[in-house]
Amino acid sequence: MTTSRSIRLTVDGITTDTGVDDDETLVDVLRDRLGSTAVRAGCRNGDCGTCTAVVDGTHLKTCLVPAARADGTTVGTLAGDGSGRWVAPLRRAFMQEYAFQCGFCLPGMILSAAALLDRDPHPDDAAIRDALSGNLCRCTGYVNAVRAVRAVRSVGAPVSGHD
Amino acid sequence: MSPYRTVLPPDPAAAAEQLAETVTGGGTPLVISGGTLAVPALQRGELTPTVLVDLHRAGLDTVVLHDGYVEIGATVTYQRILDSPALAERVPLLHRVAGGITGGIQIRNQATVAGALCAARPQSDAPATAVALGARVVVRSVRGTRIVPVEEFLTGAGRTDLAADELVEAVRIPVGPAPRRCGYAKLKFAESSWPVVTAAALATAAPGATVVLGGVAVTPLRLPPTPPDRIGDVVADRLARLPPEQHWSDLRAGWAYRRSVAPTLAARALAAVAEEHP
Repeated sequence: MTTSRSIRLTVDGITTDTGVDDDETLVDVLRDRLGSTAVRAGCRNGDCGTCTAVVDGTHLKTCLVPAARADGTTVGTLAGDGSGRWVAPLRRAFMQEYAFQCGFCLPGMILSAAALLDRDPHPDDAAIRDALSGNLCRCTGYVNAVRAVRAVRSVGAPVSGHD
Repeated sequence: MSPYRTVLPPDPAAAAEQLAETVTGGGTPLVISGGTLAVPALQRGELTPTVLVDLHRAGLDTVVLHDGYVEIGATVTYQRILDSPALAERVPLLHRVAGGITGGIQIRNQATVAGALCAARPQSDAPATAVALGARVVVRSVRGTRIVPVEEFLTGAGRTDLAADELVEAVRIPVGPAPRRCGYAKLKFAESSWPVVTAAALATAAPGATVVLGGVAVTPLRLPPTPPDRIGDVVADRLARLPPEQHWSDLRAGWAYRRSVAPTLAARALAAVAEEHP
């Protein structure tokens, strides 16, 4: 089966050339062609946020990114170490605060919280809620997620970690 | 196999040439900038182009301050608007609206004003804001470039006056010597919801301010400069005279509800103008 084109992606540090069809979006390329399941396919409409990844340093919903556009990009997912220094402490805080139940929303929740902390290491609660607003959680009601980000905010930037 | 072919032109001239070639060949082009609205619609088969012209690499991602106006390239995202000190200072209304776009950080990182104007959704923030700001749309094709006032660009719900071989290259917003005081109010039922009704207000030389309502009519509704104590009557009167074919309703709310909340939204936007100190 021929595809429209070949694109090169570096996902969590691993560079791969893969054939894609022009009507594919990045979430499907990551999951189905590259086996990266730390992005999830939820609404496919840009609402739920669980397909979030960091594309060339920018936090995006990958269900909205045409595959052809993604050629040559570096992609960090929740599973990788390439998604910034805030991801590891956020993962711990989300567990400590029980800020998830089924866990489906975590890619978007944690990566958008990381995007906020990159920009502002000491956000107020309104900024935290705003940052999480592009992610739908159907289990917890968001309060614990806000609490988890608050916990990381209080501790401040980790002195070591991956950048 | 993809039902369409994607092209990523290196500059707007190449994009215009691609559009002309596609149309001449009997094909159907679709231009996208951010793609946050078009990509899901493509995935669902609601849009059926033969060629997708993606402006992502067309070099249209700049904000440039000119004498009398600021030009916002077609692929400038809401986050770029938020990060622009020039826009924060000179066009505070746009800055404020950009900060409240539904969809969180990820959508602000990808969605664009130009794309929102092309989508022309009546309930979206951008159309009424652009009308309030007196924006003009820079439209390019191989036939030349034309500058269209946004009120003429938006022709209906989901409709613009773009021809099949034209693309939006940029949006121009007039800027005066001093920024105008502004206010913005919107009603939505949840943080993740599209707006129901929006009101964008800009101070005028006359007492009061100009208010433009979104989410009420199929295109943004501009009201005459109105002092705050008269805004309720002015909105009610204007909506009473709106022809039925211009009433907007969608699954979030019907026309009657929009009509009933519009005066309150307009009053809130005007109040926000009054609270600002120049």
